[in-house]
Amino acid sequence: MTPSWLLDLLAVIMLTVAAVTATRIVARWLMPELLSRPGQAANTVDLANVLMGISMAGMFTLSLATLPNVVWEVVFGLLTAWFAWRAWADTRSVRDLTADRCTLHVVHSAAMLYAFLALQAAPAGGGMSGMGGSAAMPALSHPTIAGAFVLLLVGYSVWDLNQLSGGHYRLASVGSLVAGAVPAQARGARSGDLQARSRRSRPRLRPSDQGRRGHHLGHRGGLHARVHDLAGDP
Amino acid sequence: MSDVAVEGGRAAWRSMRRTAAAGAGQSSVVARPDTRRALQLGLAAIWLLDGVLQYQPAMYTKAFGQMLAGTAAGNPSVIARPITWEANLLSHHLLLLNTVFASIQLLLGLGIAIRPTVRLALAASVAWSVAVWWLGEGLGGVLNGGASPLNGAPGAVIIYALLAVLLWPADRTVSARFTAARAVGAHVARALWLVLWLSLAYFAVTPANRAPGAVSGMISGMTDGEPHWLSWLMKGAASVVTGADLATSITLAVALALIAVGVYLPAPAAQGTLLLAIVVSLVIWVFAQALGGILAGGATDLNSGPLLVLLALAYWPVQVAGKEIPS
Repeated sequence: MTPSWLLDLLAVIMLTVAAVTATRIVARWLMPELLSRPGQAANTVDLANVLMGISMAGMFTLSLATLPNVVWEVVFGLLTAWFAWRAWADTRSVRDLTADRCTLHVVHSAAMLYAFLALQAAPAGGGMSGMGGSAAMPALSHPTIAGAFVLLLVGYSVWDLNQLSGGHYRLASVGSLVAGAVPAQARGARSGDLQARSRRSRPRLRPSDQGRRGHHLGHRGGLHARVHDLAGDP
Repeated sequence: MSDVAVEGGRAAWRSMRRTAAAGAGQSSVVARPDTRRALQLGLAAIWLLDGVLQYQPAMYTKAFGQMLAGTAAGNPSVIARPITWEANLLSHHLLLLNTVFASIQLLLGLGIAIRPTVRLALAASVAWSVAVWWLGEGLGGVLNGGASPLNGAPGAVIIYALLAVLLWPADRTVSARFTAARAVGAHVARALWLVLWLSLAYFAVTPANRAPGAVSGMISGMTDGEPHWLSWLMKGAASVVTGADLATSITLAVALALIAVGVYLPAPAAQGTLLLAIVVSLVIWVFAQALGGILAGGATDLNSGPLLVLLALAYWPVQVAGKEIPS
């Protein structure tokens, strides 16, 4: 049986993630001008992360369980439906779907929904002595679904780590690219800033590199885009 | 939970993406790694999954130590004694050592996935794989007659080491004909492939594996605890080969030998044998290895099937500057 201290450690990590994300939500609410991260999706993503952190802490350590399982099932059922609707509404092709962050959160929320639905009481016995005090050893029904979720999430984690750790990964202002994307009012308010940043960063975007360069566009308050090398070995 | 891309709304994102594509003269914004990096990421995912599996509750029971001790049986004493010593050590410090084992595998996966640490992680994975091959798998049953392509011979973990070497981020040759040749050269890479697959062909027809009931018994013995659909598939496969175990072993050995020499054939034929390697690996993984047993609980890894697929992909002929390089 998994030692209780390990489960407690995982629970602490989950609660830390929830706390940090909750702090971000509050900070955005109190200081919208500093943390401009507009959009209903962003708020829902952060809220989903908070709920996932709290509910998973309860899974790892029974004493941290906050709500009955049925409530969590409803919560994650609603989140799954909401993210699925967002992903569907914003998607025009399979490529869009795979690149859509809402798709990832569909998987996250559906995995949580599955976990709560599939949790079963553990059979008595089988554990080692001296390791009491933790959650009962869980068993999941329909392990094929669990395996599929694990494969998806492990694969995504590896892919994301590769993207985030790219040797040429950097924040760069690409005003000319962002100009068409930023909402009109934001563009009007910050166009001078954008142009100045664009001029500073322009030498980095060599035309000779463009053939092999991919643009991974993450939004930093709608003002920045991350540009990094497409290929390559580390 | 990197949610940066959600910010700003989907419409803005699509608009930005279209602009970016137009500006850069390309249609996709998703950064696609080259073939070797993609295969490294596959290896990272498997290591990560192994780490997760090692944290399972079943690994914190005495059964894990007993399983390791069991691999000593039939091996020469010089091989068996360290295995027995390690199994005893594990039984006394199970919580600590299993957590260390799991964490090491997790870190190997993360290290390969994170670009700046890929060399360190690949090098460490070679050392770890060799140690586990000996102390955890008893050299994969190579010396005690228990090795079979169906049960993961020559030990799944040694294929991790092989992949780490072949996918090492260095270029020995300027125009490698396949990814595996980039780090060690085409001759060495082909020789490694030949040795691995010929050894599998040999193991398929060893006396223990061509005996009556050997193949069908091995398959049906893996069905315990598996989901119904997988158990049904495996029982079906076992019933098909029942009474034809020798013929199955010979057919498998011929296919494996063909795969072994395939990398020396011209490109189209080589691709055909590589495709055969992928199909055979997947069939073995599903029908004989029960997906590594990961759905039944208690599995420590995915077994050899996915690793052999990854290996075959590393030998797939690559294209340079739009032209396929002749073999």
